[in-house]
Amino acid sequence: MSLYEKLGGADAVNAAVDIFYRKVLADDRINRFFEDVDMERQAQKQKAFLTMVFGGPNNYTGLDMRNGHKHLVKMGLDDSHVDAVIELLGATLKELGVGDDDIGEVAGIANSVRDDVLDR
Amino acid sequence: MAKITYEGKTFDCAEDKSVLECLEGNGFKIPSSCRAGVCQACVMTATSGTPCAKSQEGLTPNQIELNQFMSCSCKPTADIEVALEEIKKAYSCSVTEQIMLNERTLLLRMTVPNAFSYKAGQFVNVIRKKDGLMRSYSIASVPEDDYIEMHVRCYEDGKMSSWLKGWIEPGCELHFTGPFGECFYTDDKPEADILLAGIGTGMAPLYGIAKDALQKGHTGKISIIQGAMSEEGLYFTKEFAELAATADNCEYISSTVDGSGDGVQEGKIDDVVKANFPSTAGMRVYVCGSPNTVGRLKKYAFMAGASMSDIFSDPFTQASE
Ligand SMILES: Cc1cc2nc3c(=O)[nH]c(=O)nc-3n(C[C@H](O)[C@H](O)[C@H](O)COP(=O)(O)OP(=O)(O)OC[C@H]3O[C@@H](n4cnc5c(N)ncnc54)[C@H](O)[C@@H]3O)c2cc1C
Ligand code: HEM
Ligand code: FES
Repeated sequence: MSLYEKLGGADAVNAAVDIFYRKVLADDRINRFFEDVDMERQAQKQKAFLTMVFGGPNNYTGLDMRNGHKHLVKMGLDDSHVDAVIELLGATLKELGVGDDDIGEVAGIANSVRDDVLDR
Repeated sequence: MAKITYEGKTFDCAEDKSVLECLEGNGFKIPSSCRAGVCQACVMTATSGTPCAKSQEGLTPNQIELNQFMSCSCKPTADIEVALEEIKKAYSCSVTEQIMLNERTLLLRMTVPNAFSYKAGQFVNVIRKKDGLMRSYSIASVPEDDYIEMHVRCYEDGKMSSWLKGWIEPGCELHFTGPFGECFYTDDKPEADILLAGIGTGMAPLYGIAKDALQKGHTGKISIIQGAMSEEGLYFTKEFAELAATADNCEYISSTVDGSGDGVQEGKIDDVVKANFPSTAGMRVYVCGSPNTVGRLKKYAFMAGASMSDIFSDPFTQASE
């Protein structure tokens, strides 16, 4: 069974999105990156993000990640922000009762695109 | 550079230009209003090629199936062939009432065109036939009514609103396309508490949605909050109070920033919503009105506990030419 299936697939994404996004908007380390984006659109993107890091089906390439975050790198996006996102992701999954091993695997997927997200 | 094919001719589309801008630059007249991916006035069909995902956000699955997209919001990265869809049929109706509700709010009632069906809270795009001017207006009536009602905020230099105020009278014919929008009542959670908050003519769709929820026998509590700067900005207060009085589970709160007016709560709408609903967990929330206020109220409702999928809104994005 894939990690995505193990976590619960699309239902897990739907359960996680509200909790995760609420944490993101409340976190002063990173919320400025999300201020300009319309909330509904952003929720769709959060779902895309969660699906991807849960190891689910997605069509994003490294180049997409690069292009999708370039404007944020210009705003000062760096490693500390990626760390913060991964931390909030972990806290979200913990709240949903996901085990540490699976959380580690999710963090690993997020980490694997770090260089693309930071455009380096 | 991507190429756009339209009416048998092919044009280069500069990288930062939308399909709409490219076609306009080549002398075509394509309907548009908000230019922000909200009103759907500019919807076209991609007859070959794939429209950008962003230009389909907010369209129905049916529209997406048909390859429709909002031409103002698609900056093509690959070649695309487009058509102005024929199915965007304009309805015509006859105005039956045209009265001022207060200094700046016009109520229009019109006949329901044949075969036009809608959900309370959706909007239509009113078209001025002589020049194609188009603006979005929300529907304040419910499908059971034998009329369609709109509330129009009048701006002195507003093209559509001053025309509706100055030139339209009972008996006149009016045209529109639609209905559009996802901000309406659904009866899948009849026991959930509902909050409807708005300012200005954002109250129009909220009135329709509240009436619809009550008619469908909603059992959760329904709270309507209207906000304005001062007493003069409030309108339809009697109608809202009467609507709320028809059911035990419905309340109406009016509020003004300066505290003027009978029985109002004092404060900015944000603060009034916060004071009455410190938690919105499990609630359905509807917010309508100016985009800034809508954005703030949505964010508050979400942070205070409502699920993103339970928040519905219509930002009244201004037209831009
Ligand atoms: C989905 C949707 C639903 C809408 N529903 C309604 C509705 O139910 N009732 C309603 O009244 N409007 C509604 N609107 C707004 C409406 O479509 C028009 O934008 C509005 O009526 C102004 O059009 P106009 O032609 O009169 O003014 P325009 O000719 O477009 O504007 C001329 C001038 O009017 C002034 N003006 C226009 N809009 C604003 C504004 N929002 N704030 C401050 N000044 C302004 C400005 O000075 C502007 O330069 C909705 C918009 C959308 C996108
Ligand atoms: C850790 C790895 C990350 C992954 C896998 C990831 C993935 C994604 C994905 C899939 C999207 C949606 C793209 C689209 O459909 O347009 C997206 C958008 C976005 N991401 Fe990330 N992201 C990561 C890190 C971050 C970080 C650290 C931030 C800021 C703190 C961030 C901020 C954003 C924003 C603001 C958008 C929306 C951009 C827009 O306006 O379109 N992301 N991300
Ligand atoms: S959605 Fe394109 S003009 Fe309004």
